[in-house]
Amino acid sequence: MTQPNQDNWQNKVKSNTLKMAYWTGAWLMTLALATFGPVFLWQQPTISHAATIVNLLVGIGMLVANHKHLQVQDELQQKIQLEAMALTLGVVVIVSMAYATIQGDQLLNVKDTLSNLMFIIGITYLIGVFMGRRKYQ
Amino acid sequence: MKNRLKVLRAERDWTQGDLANALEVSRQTVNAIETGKFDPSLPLAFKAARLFNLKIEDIFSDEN
Repeated sequence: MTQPNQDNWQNKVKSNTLKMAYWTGAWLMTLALATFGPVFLWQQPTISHAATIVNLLVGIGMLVANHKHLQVQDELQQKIQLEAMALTLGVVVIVSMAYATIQGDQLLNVKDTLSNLMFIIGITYLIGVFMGRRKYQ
Repeated sequence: MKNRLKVLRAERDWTQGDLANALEVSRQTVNAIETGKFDPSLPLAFKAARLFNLKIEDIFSDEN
C-alpha cells in the first residue's frame, strides 16, 4: 500500500521534533552561560546583560519550535499534550499557593522556590504525557 | 462511537501502521480509534471515508 503523503508527515514530525530538541539544547546552553558566565568567565555586567538577552532570544526560538512541533502532531497526540499541560498547570497553581502559604506563615524555610517549581513542572508534565500514552494505548 | 476501521483494514490486508501512514496519524491513534478509546475529529473521519471510498456513516456509527 502506497500513499503519496505517508513519508511526508512522518518526516515532518521527525524534523520538527529534532528542531525542538536543538532549540531546547541551545536554550539550556545559553541559560547555563548567562548563569555561570558571570561567576567563572567574565566580570563585566555588560556581557552578563548580553548573555541574558541572547538567552531570551533563543527562548523565543524554542517557543516557536515547540509550537511548530505541536502543530504537526496528530489529534490524539495533541490531546495527550493538552491534558498533560492542563495537569501541569493545575499542579503548579496548587503547589505555588502552598509555597506562598508556607513562606507567609514561615512554617518552613523554603529556598530556591523557582527552581523547585521548574522541577515540579517538568516532572508533572512527564507524568501527564506518560499517563496519556497509557490511557490511549 | 463505534467504527468498522479494523474490519475495513483487515479486508484490505493493511496493518495499523499502513492505515496510520495513509491517514497521516500515529499508529497509536489508529489503535485508539479502533478500540473506541478515542473518537476522531470530523476532518479525520472524512479522510478515512475518502481512503476507503465510503460514506462516513458506513464507517462510524453512534453507540446508541
